[in-house]
Parts: sequence; C-alpha cells; structure tokens
Amino acid sequence: MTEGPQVNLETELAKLQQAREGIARVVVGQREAIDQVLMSLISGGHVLLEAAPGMGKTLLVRTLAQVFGMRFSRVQFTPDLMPADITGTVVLIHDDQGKTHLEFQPGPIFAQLVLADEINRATPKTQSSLLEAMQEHTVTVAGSQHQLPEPFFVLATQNPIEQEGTYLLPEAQIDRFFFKVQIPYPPEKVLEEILELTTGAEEVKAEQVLTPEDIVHLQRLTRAVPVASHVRQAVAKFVLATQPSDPKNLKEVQRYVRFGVSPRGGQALVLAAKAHALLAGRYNVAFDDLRAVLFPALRHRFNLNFEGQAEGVSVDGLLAKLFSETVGKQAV
Amino acid sequence: MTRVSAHPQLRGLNQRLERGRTRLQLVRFGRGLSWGILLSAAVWLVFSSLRWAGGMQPGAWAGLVPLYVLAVWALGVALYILRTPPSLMHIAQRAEKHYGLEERLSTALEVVHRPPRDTAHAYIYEALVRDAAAKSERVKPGQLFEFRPPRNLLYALGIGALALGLQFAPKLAPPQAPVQTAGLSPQERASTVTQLERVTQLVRRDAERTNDPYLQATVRSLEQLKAQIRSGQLAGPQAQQEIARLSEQIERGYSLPGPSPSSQPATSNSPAVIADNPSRNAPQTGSNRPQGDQPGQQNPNAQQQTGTSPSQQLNNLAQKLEAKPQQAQDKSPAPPQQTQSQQQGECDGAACSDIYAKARSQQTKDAESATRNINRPPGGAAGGFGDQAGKEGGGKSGARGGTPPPRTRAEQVKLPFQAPPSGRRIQILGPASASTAANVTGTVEAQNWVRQEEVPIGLGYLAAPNRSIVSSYFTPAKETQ
Repeated sequence: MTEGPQVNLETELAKLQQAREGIARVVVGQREAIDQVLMSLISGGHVLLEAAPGMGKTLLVRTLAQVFGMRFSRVQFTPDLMPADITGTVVLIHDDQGKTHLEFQPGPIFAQLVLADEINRATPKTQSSLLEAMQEHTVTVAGSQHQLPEPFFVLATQNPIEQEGTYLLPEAQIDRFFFKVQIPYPPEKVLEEILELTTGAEEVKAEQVLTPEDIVHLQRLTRAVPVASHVRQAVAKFVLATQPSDPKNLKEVQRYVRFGVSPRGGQALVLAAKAHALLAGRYNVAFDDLRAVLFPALRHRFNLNFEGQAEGVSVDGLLAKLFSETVGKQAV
Repeated sequence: MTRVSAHPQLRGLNQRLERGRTRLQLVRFGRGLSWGILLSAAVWLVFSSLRWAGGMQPGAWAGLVPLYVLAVWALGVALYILRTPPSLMHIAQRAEKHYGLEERLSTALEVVHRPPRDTAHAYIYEALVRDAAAKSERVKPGQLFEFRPPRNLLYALGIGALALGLQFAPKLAPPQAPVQTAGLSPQERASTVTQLERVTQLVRRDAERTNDPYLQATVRSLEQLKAQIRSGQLAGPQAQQEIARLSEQIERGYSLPGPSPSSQPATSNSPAVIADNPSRNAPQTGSNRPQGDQPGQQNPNAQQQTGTSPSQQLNNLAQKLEAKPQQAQDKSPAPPQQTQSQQQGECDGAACSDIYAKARSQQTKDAESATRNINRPPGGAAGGFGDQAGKEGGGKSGARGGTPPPRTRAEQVKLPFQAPPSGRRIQILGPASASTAANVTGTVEAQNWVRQEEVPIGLGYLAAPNRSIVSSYFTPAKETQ
C-alpha cells in the first residue's frame, strides 16, 4: 500500500459541508450550481458555466476562491485576446547593472482559480491555449514548460444569448470540461432574497473554511471512493447505449444523435458520482449519484445532429430516457 | 488503521446475507413448486375433462399422472436451485433495493477483498465498511424474502377445484363399452398367434400337398386372422368367435373327431335333414349354417368355446391336425357321411359309392353340352371358395338367376354326402325319385335328374370325396372357371 499524507476523513468532509453552506449563503438560490461546482473542484475537473449576464457567475467564482483560500484570477475573453495574454510571455528585462535578460512573466492563468469569462468570444487559438493548460496543468512558453499551481480550477463562462462575434468551442475542447453547469433564472422568492441581500449596506462575505491543500486531499479521497462492479457495468452499458452507430440502440439515438458519450464522458460520470457521494457523506457510488450528475457531466458531450436540433429534441430528455432504460433498470 | 478484511462488523453482515440466501433458496423452491402444482392441476384438469367428455376411459394411472408431474417438477426445481445458489452479492443488492441502502453492502463486499492502494483508499474503505455494517443492522432476512403464498397456488386451487368438480359431474357422453380392453392379454395374444401359426403350417402343408384351392383359401384366412390378432385389430370375443369358426370348419373339413359340440349335429346335417326341415336347415345347426345368410348372428359354437382360451383351442386343433396325417396315410379319405336314409338301409356306403361311380361315369359319357346346360345354374356357376366362403351375404351366386323349383321331400333324395357348410350354395341334382336313386347302377341318365337340393359349400365340402362328387357329378363347370 502506498502511504499518502494523513487525512482526517470526517474532518475534511465536515469542512466541505461548511464550505458548501458558506457559498450558499452568498450565492443565494443556486444550491444546485454550487454543488456542481464543488463536485468539479474536488474531482479535479473544470466547469463551463452557462448563464445569462447578471446571474452571479463572477460572484460564485469569487466566493469559491474566498472559501477555499485559492488564488483567483479573471480573464475577460475578447476577440483580440492572444494566447500570451493568458499564459504569459517572455519579456526582455533590464536589470540594475544595465544588463538585459529574458524573463518569463506568468499570465493570469497562473492562479488556482481562473475565471475565463465569455470564453467563446476569444479566437480558437487563444481558447486552445487555455484548454491545454486545463488538461495538462502546465504551460509551455518559449520552449519552457511551467507547472501551474495546484489545485488548478478553471471556471469558464459563456453567454447563451449573444452569439454574434463569438467562436463556438469545438466539441473536442468542450469535452475537456468536466461539467457544464447551467444557472437557471431564479424564481420569485429567490430573486427577492437576492435583492434583499445584495442591495443592503452590508455585503455578505464568505469565510475561508478550507485550504488549497484540503482541496487536493479531497480530490484524492474522491478518487478513492469505490464503485461496485454492477454499477460500473451499468455505466458502461449506458455509455454504449448513447452511440448512434449501434443498431441495437434506441431509434431516437440512431436518428438524432451526432455522436454519443465518449469514454472521457464515462470517466467524468463516474468521477462526478464519486464526488457526489462524498458530498452526500457516503463512501461508495450509488445509482442515485449517477443520476444526480448525469446532466452536468454529459449534456455537453452528447451532441445532436441537425435533425435532432431541428426537431427540438432535448439532450437532457434523451439522456434521462437512456439512463432509465439502462442504469435505471438496475437502480430500481 | 485496521485491515478492512478483518473488520469484525462484516461478520454480522455476512451472517445476515447467508441467512438471506438460505431463505431466498426456500422462497425460490416454493415459487418453483407452485408452478409445478399449477402444471399438475392443469394436467389433472385435462384428464378430468377428457374423462368427462367421454374421450378417455378412467384408469388409476390417470389419477397418478398429475402426481408424477408434480414429483418430477419438484425434483427438477430442487436440483436447479441447488445448482444455482445466489451469490452474497446478489443478496446484498436485493437488500439494498429493499432497504434503500444505495449500494453500500455490495460495494463493501467487493472492497473487503481489495487491498487499499494508499491511505486515502484505506480511509474510504474503512469508512465504507463501517457504514455498511451499521446499515446492515436493518437487514432482516425475514422481511427481505417473505414466505408468501404465490399467486400460482390460487390458480392451481381454482383449476384443481374445477378438475375435482368434473370428477363428480355427470358424464357428457355415456361411457363406451370396452371394445378391446376385455380382449386378449399380450401373453395370450402371443400364444394365440403362435398356435395360429402352427395350425396354418399344418393346413398349408396339406394345401401344398393336395394343391387344393380350398385349403389354400383356408390358409389365407388363417393368415389374415393371425395378422389381425397380432395387430390388435381383432381381439376379445370377436377373435374367439372367429377362431372357433375356423377351427370348427377345419375340423369338419378334415373330418376330425373332437369334443367340439359342433361336430355332433353335423351328422344331422345331411341333405335329407336339411330338406326335411328347411327352416332349421344350416342356420340352426352351426356346422352347416351358411354363414353369409346371417352375418350378425353369433356362432353358438364359438359362444360355447369362449370358456376355453383361444390358444388352448388352437392347440387342440393343431394336435388333431398333427395326428391326422398318420390316419390319412393309412387309409383313403373318409367317405362322406351317410344320410339318415342310408343308415336305414336304403343305401349303404358301398351302394352309394357305386351310385357315385356310375354317376361319374355317366357324367363323363354325357355330352358336355347336355349335362352342363342342365346342371349349370342359370346365371353362372357357384363361384367363390375358401376365404370368400361365409363372407358374402347369402352366397346366392350358385342359385342366381332363378327361383329354385319346389323341393321334393327329403326322404326321396338319395344323396349320400353331407351338405357343404358354407356361405355359398350349390345346386345338387339327383334322380327324380328315391327308388331311382337306390337302383342306380351303371350308367345313369343324368339328364332326367332334377334339382334336389340347394346346399351351401364351404370348408366341409373340401373333403376329397365330396369335392369329387360335386365336381364330377353335379357342377363340373364351376371348377373350371
């Protein structure tokens, strides 16, 4: 057995619950989005946040950074944003002795929590530089590789309304986001509460509960959560059921789906279910965990074809149907 | 950190799961048995329905079939259940679904045998096992696998009640009389066939030796009877009756002595007696009865012989036939039996033989046309022998085409041969008066003879003297056809 750092499981989980509650006090009425972001964080994944302007995306990220004590940076993506503006660049430095030398100036990506605001407004070249950092947790500039700090968590946002002057993220890059979180418009009571809290004299702030090291420990614990073999088999069956090329699958899948869930999507589903189980205070993955993380983990990995989009087929609806016909049969 | 596999609380979980497995096996057996009971009830209902509808005779085996089905089914179910015991993982999953344990037990069972890779895994595994053990306290095998009567039993009960009701319900159709059930037992049938084979061989031997068509026909009849008995087409009283009839005819044809009651009245079947009392002619006597005349009437002789088994009857016949060749070699074929008038001295055996000899020579001398025109029955000769005998109604072919003339009194007929007892009839011509017949010597004017009697022919007619008499004396034309 490989010995790792000593962790107190119950304490860590209790702190996680405290952090959850602390964020929920600031970001009102978005408990589901908060949980999904937390799950992504302790799973080591990144989040694509899709919400209309003014829905509290920046507030959520900032609160998250406060609660976990993470270094936070924000990058506003624009069409003229260059990769070096994100990753950093090598600059010529004049020292006190009159000599010059090249020195790497880290970009905003060198933070533990990066908010890539309106990521779809940058060119694909810039987008790809961010996505490389997300995947490898390293940045290569001028032939030198630079390690990003741990934990490294990117929360990218995109505006679902404005599409003019944007560059849609390719599916291969979207697939690298662990979760695609959608923040719905708040209902009346929540909106009233938001207005009450945010327009007063005193601004509500969250306290730091966890440290970045705790996040790393939680990420390790999350990966250690076991999955029963029959649950794993059910996930594999479900992932295969999303493939339109298999004639045994549902006719709706064959007709409306452009491509199904990738193996990375299956990994994300299981890992997210582990995080969900841990967040729920359990130490094993249940079918309910899979159901809870199904949409944020797979809705951006399950693409409809033109016919499906034209006929208004719901990705979430189709996923739910497939899940109930494969995993759900064993779950109930 | 303690080793997960040695966690003491898992023992409790294992014990509960083991108890649950045993209980599940019992529940599975009960469920499988209920299907067997349902099947047995259905089988019982089928048999009861068949019996009620009259399509099947009741028998003890019919009542036992559902029990056999149930026993075989129960055995099969028991074997299947023993060979396919559910795993503890399966029991754990059932418990998780029943108690909402969210895959804790099954995951813990897997984790127990898996060494943790690092401290994080160890902590998680430890916590999981502890959690699963705590949650497994809720698992009650009795609640998990309840002994509830399967719904199949209700259906089986209903079907069984229906079948039981059919047992007491009035039959839809009256029970049919047993046709073959009272027949020969397999042993008796085999013995009968053996004896028939034996008799057939004896008769065939004579048929081949004498080249006699009647014996050959008899052989065919015997073969046919044997085949019918062997295949079961003929059994019981019908078989016994047929055997008795054939035996009787063979005995009479060979003029065999025997205890058969049919042989006694044969002596009274002389044409004189027949003519004397036509109403009790052959049909009344059994031996001379033209069997085609009354096909539905049973042979009284056969009825009397039903007391003995057919094989025994055939055995007696075969013994007589085997004893016969020595007698036949020693002497010539038995002379025709004498009529009552002959016994009274009007015509002794030698005189009658002379009469026949003279008649034969006369027949030879007469012109064929004159003799045949007179003697041949209008409409054709009396045809059909052997196996045809007794099977056509009335055997009227010999008398076809005309009404027999008024018969003279029997006392006036001097025909010293026994009337052939069979279905077919033949016209017998003789002298117009008894005195003429008695004084016949030398050449006889056969043209002046009139038809004295119309008698049936059959196996009794097969005796060589009679055949020669008939063939040369009265109906020479028919044997050439």
